[in-house]
Amino acid sequence: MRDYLWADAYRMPRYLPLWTGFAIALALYLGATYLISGPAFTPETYASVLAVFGSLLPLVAGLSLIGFVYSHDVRAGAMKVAIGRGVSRRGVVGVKTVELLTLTVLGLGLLFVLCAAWDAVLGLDPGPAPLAGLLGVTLAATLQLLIYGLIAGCVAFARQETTASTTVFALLASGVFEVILGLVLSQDAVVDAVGDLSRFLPRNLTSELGHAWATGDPGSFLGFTLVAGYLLLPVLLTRYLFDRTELDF
Amino acid sequence: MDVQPDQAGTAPLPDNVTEVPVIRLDTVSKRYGDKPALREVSMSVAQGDVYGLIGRNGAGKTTIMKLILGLSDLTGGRLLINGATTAKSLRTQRATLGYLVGQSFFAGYSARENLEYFRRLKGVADQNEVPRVLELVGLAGVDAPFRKYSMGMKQRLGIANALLGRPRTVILDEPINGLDPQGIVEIRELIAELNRDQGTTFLVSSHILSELALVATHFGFIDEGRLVAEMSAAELSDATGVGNLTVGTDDPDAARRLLAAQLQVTTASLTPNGTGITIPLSSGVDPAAVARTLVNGGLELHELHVARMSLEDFYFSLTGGAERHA
Repeated sequence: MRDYLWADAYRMPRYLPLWTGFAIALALYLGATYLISGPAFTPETYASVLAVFGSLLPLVAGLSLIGFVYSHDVRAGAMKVAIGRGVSRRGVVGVKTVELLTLTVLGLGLLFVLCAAWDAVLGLDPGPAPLAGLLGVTLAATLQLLIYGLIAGCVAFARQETTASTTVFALLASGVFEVILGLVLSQDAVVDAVGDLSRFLPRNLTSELGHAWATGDPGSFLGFTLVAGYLLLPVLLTRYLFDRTELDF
Repeated sequence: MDVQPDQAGTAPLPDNVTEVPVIRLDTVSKRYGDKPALREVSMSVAQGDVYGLIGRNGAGKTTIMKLILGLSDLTGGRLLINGATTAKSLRTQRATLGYLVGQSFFAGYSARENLEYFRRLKGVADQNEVPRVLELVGLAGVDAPFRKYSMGMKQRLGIANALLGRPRTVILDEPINGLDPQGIVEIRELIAELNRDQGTTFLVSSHILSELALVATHFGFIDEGRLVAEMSAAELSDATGVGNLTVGTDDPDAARRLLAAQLQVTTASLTPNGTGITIPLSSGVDPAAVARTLVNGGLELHELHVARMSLEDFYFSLTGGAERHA
């Protein structure tokens, strides 16, 4: 497993889309905050920029990350070589999960630092807790990217092709899937029968949790448990499905 | 004899086996849904063999290789690699195998970059391994990205990848697919050289049987998921050695009469084009005596040659003929 991680570390600087995704996200933030900076700056405009940035971040940064962790690997058959060299299938799932986790946290962490530094350069003053908004958005996007990435990974492992997993990730990270599901769940008939379940969708839960953590609040236990479930279930499902997947040359 | 694995995952050998085979399949079966892909296949690849696995497309060759490499699970039976048979010990032993995995590589990387990646993945510490194997397959100095390679170059890179880290056993599925005649000769010579000089064991499948016949020391013939025969090259030579004597002459009918009268050869038949006769060597006829008899009888001799049964003919004789495979 260590060799597999070591090999993927060799691949990282050579996979340009990985850096392009983060660069685009950073450019979006820099451009938008630059446009609203100056005498006309208000905390409200800043909050709206953060909202848009937060909604785009999982998709923009995530597509390149998913491409690196799953698509590039599957197309080159690297995980099959790893299995042929004695890495267990669960070990392969573990390596890919660790990669997704590490790159997401490091990538979005670095993005947060650069964005915060840019805010300081522009002299933006969004309120009494200047970094809380940006940190909350980044934490929420980190959790969302992980959840959607692990679900996309499940598809990539089970089907051993990349189009379906990328499509699933794009639908989830763009919010399309949750908007549709939210509409269904907020119908009176559904609400009357099982209550309002739309607040338990990943995007809502992670936003609540991210913003709570950003202000030092641990957040609700239920929310934390559900997010942990959203993270754990795709990994378990991936292990189950990949154990039963026939691999071809 | 029922052989159970010990605690280390290594199965004791049956009484009549003295050397641990590198790869052994014991009544291995594999089904895809209701469709059987392998039916109780038992085969054994010994250290130092070049084992040629022969079968038409869909016969089960690739399935056997997938099972050995852990890309697919057995439905029944038992697989042993270097005597190891439990899941964990099999994984350990798989690290000693090199294999050609088709032509899956990173499209944007050069040959060197691709092999550098797989060198790390395989845990090969020696940094000189990549230039060494690229030199072996004739790709040293090729800087173009993989996506621009011809089929033959992709195949060479796959073979180089299989040889990374000097594995003791190498599994090659259709290694000469896409190679030009020069490339086929080079790969054949490379297999023979590694086998001779370093004792590398090979399990090779190919549908180009004439090439396998030149390099393999053992053969397994597989048809519709069943191993129909397994034999050494010497045994195969014995089995295919009984061929035909073909004689080209100006009067084939007269030749038949002459041979029947003087040599008591009654099995001669006309060749399909009618310009000669064919005599099965199983009749015990001496080709020199045939030539002498015909010339002394005043007939012109245009051609005289002994044709052994080809590997293709032998395969078809085992599996029911070429017509069934058409």
